[in-house]
Amino acid sequence: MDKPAARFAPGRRKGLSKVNYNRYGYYFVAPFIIVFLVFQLYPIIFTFRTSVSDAIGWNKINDSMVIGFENFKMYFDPGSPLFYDFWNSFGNTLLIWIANFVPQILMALVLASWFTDTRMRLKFRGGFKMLIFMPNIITAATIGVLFYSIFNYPIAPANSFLQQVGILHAPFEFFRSTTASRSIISFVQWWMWYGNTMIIMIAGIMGISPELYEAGLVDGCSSRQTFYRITLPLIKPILLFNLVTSMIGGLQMFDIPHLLTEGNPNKTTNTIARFIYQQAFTGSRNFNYASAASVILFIFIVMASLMLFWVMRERDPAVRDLRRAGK
Amino acid sequence: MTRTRWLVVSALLLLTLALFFLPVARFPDDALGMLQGDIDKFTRRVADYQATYDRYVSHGDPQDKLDKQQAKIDKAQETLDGYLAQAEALQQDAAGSALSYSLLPGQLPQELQFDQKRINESKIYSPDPQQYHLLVYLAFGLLLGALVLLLLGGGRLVSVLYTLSSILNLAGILVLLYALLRLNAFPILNPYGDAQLTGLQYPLVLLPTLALLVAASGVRNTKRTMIYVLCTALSVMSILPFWLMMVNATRSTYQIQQGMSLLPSTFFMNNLNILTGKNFDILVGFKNSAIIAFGATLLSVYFSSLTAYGLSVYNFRGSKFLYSFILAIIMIPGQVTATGFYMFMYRLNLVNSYIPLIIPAIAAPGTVFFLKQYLSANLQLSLVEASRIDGAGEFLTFNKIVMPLMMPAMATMGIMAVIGSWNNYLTPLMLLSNPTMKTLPMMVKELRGDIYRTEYGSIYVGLTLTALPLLLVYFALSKYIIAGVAVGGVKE
Repeated sequence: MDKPAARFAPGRRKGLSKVNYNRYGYYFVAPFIIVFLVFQLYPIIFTFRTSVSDAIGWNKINDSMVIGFENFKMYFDPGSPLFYDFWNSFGNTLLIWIANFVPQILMALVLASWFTDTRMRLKFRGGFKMLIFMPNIITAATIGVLFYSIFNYPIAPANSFLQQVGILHAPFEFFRSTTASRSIISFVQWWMWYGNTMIIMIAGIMGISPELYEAGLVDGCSSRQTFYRITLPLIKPILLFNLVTSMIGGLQMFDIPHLLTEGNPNKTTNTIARFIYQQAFTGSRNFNYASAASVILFIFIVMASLMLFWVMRERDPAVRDLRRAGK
Repeated sequence: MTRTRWLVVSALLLLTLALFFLPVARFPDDALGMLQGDIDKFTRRVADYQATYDRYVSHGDPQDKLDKQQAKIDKAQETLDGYLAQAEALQQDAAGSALSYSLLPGQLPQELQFDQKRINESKIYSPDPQQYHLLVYLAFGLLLGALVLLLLGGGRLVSVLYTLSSILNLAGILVLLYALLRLNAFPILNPYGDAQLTGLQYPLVLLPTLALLVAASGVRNTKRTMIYVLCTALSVMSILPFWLMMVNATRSTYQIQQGMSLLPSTFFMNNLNILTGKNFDILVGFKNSAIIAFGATLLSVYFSSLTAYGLSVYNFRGSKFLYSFILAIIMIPGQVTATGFYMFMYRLNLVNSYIPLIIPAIAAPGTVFFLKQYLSANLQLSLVEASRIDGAGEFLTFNKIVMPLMMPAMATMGIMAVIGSWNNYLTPLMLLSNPTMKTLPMMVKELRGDIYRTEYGSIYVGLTLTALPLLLVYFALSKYIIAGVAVGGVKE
């Protein structure tokens, strides 16, 4: 604390103008970096390390040996016992994700364009937004069990309703049917997330410079032209960001399938996250197989994200300039 | 609305109203169906006897045994022929004896009686013909109203009557659809069978829907109305599962078995007692979740703002890189590293402890990003300079001067962090096995188990208790939560 005194000492003008506070920056970011290194980076490294080790069972957590890429062979050799399970859950996850993501982004875009349309001036926008977004903040575990209870067999609201209006003559076992189970999971995921996507889209559209819309109005754009020619090209980065985060989230889907169907019927709704969970945390604790599956998933996510960024990169220099100017 | 559109819509509605007077269902004479059972039985019996006869022949059994068997065959054949003749006679006048039914003007045919046994078995509501006829008249009235309003509008370009007409049309379609489903579900007592819809139901529903679409495609106002209708439907869809949950929490098991209801009953305390009687101690879960959520949130918000401040005020070596790095790690897939995280915690002996659920919240890259954005827009460095000149240390400046400035942003991120931590399921599931340490989402899983198999009401009570705090928080703070989501998504 003798620095300020030094600053006012005669003949040391250099010190007056330039005290180096910047080193304090390290103290401010240190907690973040330490916790990140210990609780995020090290577990990632440890996962990679476990994926090439023989860590099966509790005893091996503390002393496992590196055995090379044996564990990965499990997932690339059609004769191995885990081959089918893993790729089956991989396929299920992609299927369920796509089945909820496509309608999700379409619905969100349509709603966002309505809610931000200045010519439409809808009333109760706030109320609609609030209610549509609501399912997203309720615990996924609660929602999973709630929908399990709603679609249960033989007595549950869905079956009662369908019988009361006469669509069904006898109760239907939704969770014995692959199509029904997958559809219900996709629906629940869609129902939970389209509000979230919509809010993000609205924020993105609101961020577009109003001058562009005014120019469009002066030039006589219809609502449709405004949407396709101004809104859509300019929120493309947000769409892309949403696509990537949704994919990362969707590939790790765990809560809803775990609590709604437990992967049934016959593992047709098992997801990769559930597969990893079952390998590592049930039965004989195959930490090494779980880690190898995690590494495959990790690499897949990184590659898919990079590919999406590359495929959807802006090719039109005019739009790129416009976007930069808007920022 | 253009003239042509107006004409098309009117014609479609008129046609629909005309279809109300054509037969929409048949109730076939079921005597034939019952006879078919006897015919099958005797056909099989004749075949059996014949097979036995053939066996006797191949074994070379004595003649009198063969004769006896032949007599049996003849007798069975005779009965079968009698049934077949009866069936043929019935078949000839079956078309005549079936009761045909059109929506209007008639009541359901007097001869029909409901099958009480099937009603009791399948637990559907007792069908009420009176209510059903009311529905039919209502549908007809609504569609007629839609047509009348349309005609009153008289093909003018814009008229509020068209919007009203479309609303009536939509309501008419929904009521009609419900009435048709009701008709299809009536369990009829023999000698007549259940309703067989003749196929007229498709044009009955499709024509007014087409009319609605044609009308909607033309008029701006109608488009607006449709948007309102859709948004209302989506809002109802958001609420309905939670509403069902809360309603069923107040109904007894018997009432739930009787069917779905949207009106609450009076058995909430009863269900709650059943729930707590089965060792479902919601307060423990609530306390555990609260400790983790609030602990993690406090750390997350304080240290994230510290990091954000460090990044935006100080220009130290590597600060630019660190910021880009933080942006990149926002996207790290968390559940992928779950195995390594768990094993590492096991090694540190931190399994069955809240530390691995709370401490990692210090490194929250998304929160840092948002707070840094906020600081860049709202913090003037002269304020920091002034504080330094007054002799405050760097941390004092941050705690006393900058933190109060950041409060709105910290509150937004805090709410998001509480909700995120509260809803987290997988991490506590991995790390906590001690039953007294379970969090609320982990307790929810128990509700799916066998001990609640028949206690439907108490399952819903448990779900309601876990969802209600969040619903209340959401309704109180929805503005901030939606704002938090919006800023979270808009980054490049």
